[in-house]
Amino acid sequence: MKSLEHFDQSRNWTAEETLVIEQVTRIAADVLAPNAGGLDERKEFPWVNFKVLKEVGLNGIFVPEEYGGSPVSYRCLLEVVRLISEACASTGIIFGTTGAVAKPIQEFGTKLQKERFLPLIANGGLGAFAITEPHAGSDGSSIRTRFQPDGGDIVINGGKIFITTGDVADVVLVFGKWSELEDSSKAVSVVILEKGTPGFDVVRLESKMGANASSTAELAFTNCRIPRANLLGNPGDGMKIMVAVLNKSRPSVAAQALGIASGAFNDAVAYANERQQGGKRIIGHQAIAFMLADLAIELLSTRTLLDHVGRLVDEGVQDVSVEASMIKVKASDLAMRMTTDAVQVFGGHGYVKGHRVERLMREAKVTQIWEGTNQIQKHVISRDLMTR
Amino acid sequence: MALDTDTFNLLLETVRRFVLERLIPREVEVVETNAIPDDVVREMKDLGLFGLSISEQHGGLGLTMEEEVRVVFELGRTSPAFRSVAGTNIGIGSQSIVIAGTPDQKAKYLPALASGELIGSFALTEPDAGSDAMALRTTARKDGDHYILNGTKRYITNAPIAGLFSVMARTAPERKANSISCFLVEAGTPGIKLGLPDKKMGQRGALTCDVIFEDCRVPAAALLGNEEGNGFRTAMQVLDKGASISLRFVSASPTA
Repeated sequence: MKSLEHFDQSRNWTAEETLVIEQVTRIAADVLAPNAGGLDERKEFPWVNFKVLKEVGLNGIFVPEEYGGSPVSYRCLLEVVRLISEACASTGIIFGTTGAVAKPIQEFGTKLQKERFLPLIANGGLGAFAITEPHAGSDGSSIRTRFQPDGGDIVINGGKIFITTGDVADVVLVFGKWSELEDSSKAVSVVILEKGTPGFDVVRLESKMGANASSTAELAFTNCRIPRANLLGNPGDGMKIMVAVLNKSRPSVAAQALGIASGAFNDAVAYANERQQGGKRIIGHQAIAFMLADLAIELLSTRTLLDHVGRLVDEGVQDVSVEASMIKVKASDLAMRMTTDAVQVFGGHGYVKGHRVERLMREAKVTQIWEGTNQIQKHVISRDLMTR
Repeated sequence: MALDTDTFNLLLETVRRFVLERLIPREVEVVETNAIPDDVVREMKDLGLFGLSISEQHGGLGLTMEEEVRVVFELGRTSPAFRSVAGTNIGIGSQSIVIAGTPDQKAKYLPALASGELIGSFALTEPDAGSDAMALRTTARKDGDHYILNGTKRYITNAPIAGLFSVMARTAPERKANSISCFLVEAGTPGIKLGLPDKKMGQRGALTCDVIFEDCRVPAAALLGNEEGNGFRTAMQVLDKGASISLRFVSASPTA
């Protein structure tokens, strides 16, 4: 597949990045991909995969050297997320989410917070983001979880839903409203909550259409007391932190979706080259061939766009919010289209469990929803087009 | 034979109420158990839903294509699995007999298919014959006053519960329509093996599996229409009629 070979050759990774990518490629093929179907079927958290990722210290890419990490360029980080997700979408989202938790601690954390939590993540700890509530999805600023300052502590009351890894994460970034500020988006604040804190409970886990090895938790906070030292930034900094987080997490989620799309594309092309009907390989029938040609164009353009967004971040461009939204829409829509078409190429064999395209299609849908629905992304993009 | 307007509207209303009161409340159970509850199947039989497209002469409702489509549209408002259990009797599991059966074959099988007592399946698809149905490899070799069937059919809807299979098999080697004949094979005939039900992405409760023929002997009377070489043509006619299956998904969408 010349177009993808040329693209891979054009990436200009450093020697270190090349090693990381080779290692991740090997782990994806040897461990992540073989485990993926069974973990999805049993709805089992991929501890078996994270054991391996921990052994090679892969979480280190999320953390600066001074806190025990071995950071790589953002472009390389995105490629790692894509490769992991191509093999196992559930592992990819859990891994990417942890990275997204490390970033705001690095950017807004006190020295003590960084010393406490970044090495924990570098050594394999997992992270979760708790923003969403039953009535507060796209409208993040209408959350009701309360942060009540009380002497040297903060008392948390409220609940969250749809929290990826919320049940087992070592570190949860919880968004809530500072009780002493006027109840509006200006009151939104962020705290760092550790697993096992009394008053922090996991109410239940969701049963989902796909990404079943990734746990999606409902959380409850009942007079949950944490030290004031766990406040990230200042009271009222929540929306600023949220935006900064999303600019880095949206491309990561796009990389995860692109991983799913890459897997589906490879499977569809391989199958079309093997399956015979009407006396020839089905890739020899124009209906199938042109479908794959359209998908090849989309895949290369989306990978190029993701590379561009990564490059902007590495070059220090501050506000990549529009591009982050663009790549999130592009990659997730491609994942849904690609997996739907891949199942179509497989015919009946794609609908029954056996080939992984059945699972990939179930996994793709959520990428158009989480991390900001694609409708919200288009709101960001179109706002940028409005003249003042 | 078309029903008069009032009678037909009464039927539609009955089906509509049946879907709302009896089927929709059981949808979750169907997903969880991957099966249609027996009492629901009984009620569907009592309503005559298995015999929509079989003539009154043979115990069915004898609806026209338009009437059948309108009833199926109502069934589409609930899980496709409910329609699927009766679907092969309404469509591909019975129509080859309706279109091309001898009077004896019609009298023998249509009443039982119409009442739902017998579930019919249509066995065309094979591992290497999907879109290219003509590539099918199951053979039927004449042996005295029997035929011997050998081959594998795949993804056969309702096969796990079918009492009768309409099997498309090759009676001549050339890749031509008139090389293929259709056989009415009863379940339990020695030489038939069923595979495990397929695990699918969705459509829980609608069962499909492999049907394997290993030196399966069937009497010459099983040859549809008592005529070799009409199998492929009949299959295509049956499938054309069956394309109305897609309509149930049109009615499914508004409830989403």
